[in-house]
Amino acid sequence: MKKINLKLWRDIRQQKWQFTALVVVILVGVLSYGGMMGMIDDVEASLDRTLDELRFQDFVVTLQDTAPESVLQDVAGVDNVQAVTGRLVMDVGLDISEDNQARARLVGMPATAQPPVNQLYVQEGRYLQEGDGLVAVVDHHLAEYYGYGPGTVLHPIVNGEPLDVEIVGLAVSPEYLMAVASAENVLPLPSGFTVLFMPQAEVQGLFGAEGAINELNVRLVNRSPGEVERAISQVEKALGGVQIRSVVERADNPSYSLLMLDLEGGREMMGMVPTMFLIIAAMSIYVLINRMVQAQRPQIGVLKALGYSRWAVMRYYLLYSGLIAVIGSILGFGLSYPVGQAFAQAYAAEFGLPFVTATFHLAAGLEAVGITLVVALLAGFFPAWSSARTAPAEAMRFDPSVALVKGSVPWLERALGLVFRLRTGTKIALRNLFRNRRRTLTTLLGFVFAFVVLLTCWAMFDGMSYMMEVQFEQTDRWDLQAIFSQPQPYTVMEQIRGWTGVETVEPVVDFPVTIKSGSESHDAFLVALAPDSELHGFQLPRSKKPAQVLGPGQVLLSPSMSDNWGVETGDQVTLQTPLGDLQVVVDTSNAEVMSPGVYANLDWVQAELAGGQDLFNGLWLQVDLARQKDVRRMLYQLPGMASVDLKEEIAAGWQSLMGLYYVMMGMFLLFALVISAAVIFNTMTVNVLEREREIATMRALGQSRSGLQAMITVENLLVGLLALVPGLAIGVASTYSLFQVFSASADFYLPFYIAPLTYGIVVLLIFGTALLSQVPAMRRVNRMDLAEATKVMA
Amino acid sequence: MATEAQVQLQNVTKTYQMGEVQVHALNGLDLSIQEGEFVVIVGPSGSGKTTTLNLIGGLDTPTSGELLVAGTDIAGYDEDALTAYRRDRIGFIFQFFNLLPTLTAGENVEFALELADREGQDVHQRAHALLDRVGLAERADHFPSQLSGGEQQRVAIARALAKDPPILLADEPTGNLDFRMGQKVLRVMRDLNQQEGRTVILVTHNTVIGRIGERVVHLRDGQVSDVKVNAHPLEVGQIEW
Repeated sequence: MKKINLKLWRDIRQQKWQFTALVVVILVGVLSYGGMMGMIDDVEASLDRTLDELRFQDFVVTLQDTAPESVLQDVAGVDNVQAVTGRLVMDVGLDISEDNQARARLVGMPATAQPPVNQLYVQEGRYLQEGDGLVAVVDHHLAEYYGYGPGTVLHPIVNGEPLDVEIVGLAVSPEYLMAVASAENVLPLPSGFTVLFMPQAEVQGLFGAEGAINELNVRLVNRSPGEVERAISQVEKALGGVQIRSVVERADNPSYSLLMLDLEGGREMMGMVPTMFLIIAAMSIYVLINRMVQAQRPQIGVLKALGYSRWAVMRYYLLYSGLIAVIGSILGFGLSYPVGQAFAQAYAAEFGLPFVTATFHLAAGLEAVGITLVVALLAGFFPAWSSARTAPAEAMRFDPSVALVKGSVPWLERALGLVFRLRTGTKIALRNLFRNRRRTLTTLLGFVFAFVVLLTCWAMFDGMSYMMEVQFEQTDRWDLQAIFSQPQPYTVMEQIRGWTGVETVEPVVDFPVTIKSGSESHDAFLVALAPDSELHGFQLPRSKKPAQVLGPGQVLLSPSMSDNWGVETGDQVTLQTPLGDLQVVVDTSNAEVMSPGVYANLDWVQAELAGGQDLFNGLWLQVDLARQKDVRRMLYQLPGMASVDLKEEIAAGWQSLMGLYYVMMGMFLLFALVISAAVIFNTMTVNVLEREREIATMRALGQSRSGLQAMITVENLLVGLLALVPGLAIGVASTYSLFQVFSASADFYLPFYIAPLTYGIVVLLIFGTALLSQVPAMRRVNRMDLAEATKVMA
Repeated sequence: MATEAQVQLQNVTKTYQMGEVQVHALNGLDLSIQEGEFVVIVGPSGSGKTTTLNLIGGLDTPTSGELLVAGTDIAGYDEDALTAYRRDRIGFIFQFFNLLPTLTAGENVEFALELADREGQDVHQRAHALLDRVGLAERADHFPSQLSGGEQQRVAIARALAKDPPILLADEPTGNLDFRMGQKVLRVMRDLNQQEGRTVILVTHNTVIGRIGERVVHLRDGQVSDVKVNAHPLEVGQIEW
């Protein structure tokens, strides 16, 4: 081996921990860029593949009532329609146990073969077959939750009577990749909602609707946006006088849209991380190489005196920085595939995607490696160039007695000096900050990065917790929400009001509508209620009362709806309902956070759409909590009861969904702490190495080890303090930006909120990590050979 | 009546591990230094003179033997005790000056004063007085990068005096200075010895400098090879190198 390469190898060995720290920074950067972004791409690809394999619908038409199956032929004849399936779909209760009922959707399926649209992926057992009676292929979520399998008998409650339905198979459905019942309540509730895919004839028989369907699933040949709209319009025309309740496109499928929101949030989060890693890596490499060049000046002089060219000297230092980049990149690149694959698999498994695509993202990985190499070589270039330019005699003339550091009194010290009398130890710490500005800047960036990532992650916890509180403490004041499949007279409500444990009951009318504003139309759910409702807390500004904004002809929207639909307070829009169109004036100041409805005055809606009859299809109940499960059971026994939700179960479902976010946030927290620790370790070690003689002199003069440690700690923490304001400011901005991503949907409004305690937690965590990171440097200080170190060249 | 030596080394050995090689820097060194003496220790490279100074200065500890300073054996001191010893009893002057580069001349002296934690003292005033003592009061606000080698070394002497130490140790104090600067530094040290009665132990490879000491101790191979007493030590201005 050439001796200069041997020198390189030995220098690396001597500085192995700093070398390793930088390799780790590079590794994490490449891994996050290649692996994580690749993971998101893989999950999206898996999703697309699953939807394609299972022939997912392009849109679904839900009828207001039933229609004969013959309408399918009319729809099948529409231009661009590739396939159409007609089904009878009914929501009922499902008896899990004495005190536990869930919501079950009975979906009629062909018994002989899978339908041409929305097929099932059977994970266990079998699909339906000729001769099947009351059997079902069940969506896997609830079955997995309760440990059901083929052979288990379920008890859906139809017309007040529980039935025996045997499970013959467990399946994944493209419509229910997440166990979300409707767009009204986008919470996946695996314990509380399931789908029973049963023979169509059986379902029709149960509801006395032989030969009838109430849902059409349509798949198109050409899916471009304009063509989809055209097809919907033609299908509506083909259905003629059949009343349509709603038309929901693929992107608005509740399960699909929730998945996409999740992935978008992940992509946004992961987008900012690699860039910061690379910046920090570049600066850290620069600091390290620069320090090496300074320390090795006499050696450089000797090399050049022996006849090594400028390029040979430069090559040495470029090789050093290049090796850091290459090793880190190779490891990061190598790990990106298995790590990305593992995450993609875990993510896909969480969502029950049966078809997983995990590809080796060569392009993304090579891009990450390429960028890293360029950045690392550039970072090493400038100190390397400086080393090569030094004349040999000058380099070898390096005299440790000549003070290389130009002293000066920084502005910060002058400012503090106006108020405090500073001890020399404090002056040393302050002046060391400005002694090597690039190095200080690197450490500062490390701190800033840590502040940004930690604050963003922790603030997401805060935001989501706040969202939960607003939704479940302030907005939803009911304990149970019951939805009927058909309108009910008030006598039913009065009957329920008389039940033991029921304290308050309020009627609501709840059905899908389309808001038309100009040429744009948007699907939503209308919730008609009394303005003075006790069981719903509107999130209005203080200047507005519900009675003011929920008069006849008025509807209340949320700010997220306003942003997404382009409607403002005072705008007049058309409310298209299954029972006719209504002209309304909107107010967009109801800042509800989750799945807000389009609110309207109950009396007015009943007058306009039900001929003034006192009808409702939903109830909100406040009950004695000890009796709420009994009440739920009794509700499910009522004819026409489609679903009964317990607020505490919904809240628990959200908490468990957040569990996934918490895992991701936890991962980012860890990344941030590792990076900041690596940067601070590197800088502190360089600082101590460079100042060995000074430190040894201070100890020789009688400065105690604890006193020195305090000095170094103050210097370290001062950088942290300088980083505090910009770090937290950028963190707040980054958090706001992330909140905006989650609020981009009309269904969510994530109020920007960071708990005051969060700032404290973030600061403590980062400063705690900084203190731990300087331990190796402190150990070096403590173990210093004073006799040697007082003679050492810097 | 024989007075007790201020510094006494009795059969002191010091062995270093340098890679796989053991280096015996001192091999049973016996040396006594009286209070107020000006002793010059000379010897070739590797003779153990710097090691001797480092042991007396508390920068290192002997492998074996006794090292008594004012009657107390410091050989068994732990790190905290050595720190206090260095802080309170020793003034060290280094070959490479070792000023803290981010502090001015005055602040370098103040640093040592703060360590000594003298009560009731105006640290700033005392630092100024010490710099004046070495003829550098007007350079108090200058940083080391703005001072010549000789000036830096004199600041180092002022810093060493900050704790009012009974013993001053100087390791090749003129090694990095030209003749004129070196003379100035030696003159200050001689004055400190003669006018203030401080014990000065100076290590040098330059035997000419030995002529200004009261006693010259020659070291070779980690032991005292010769001791010469100068009945009439020369003045600094009388020597040339």
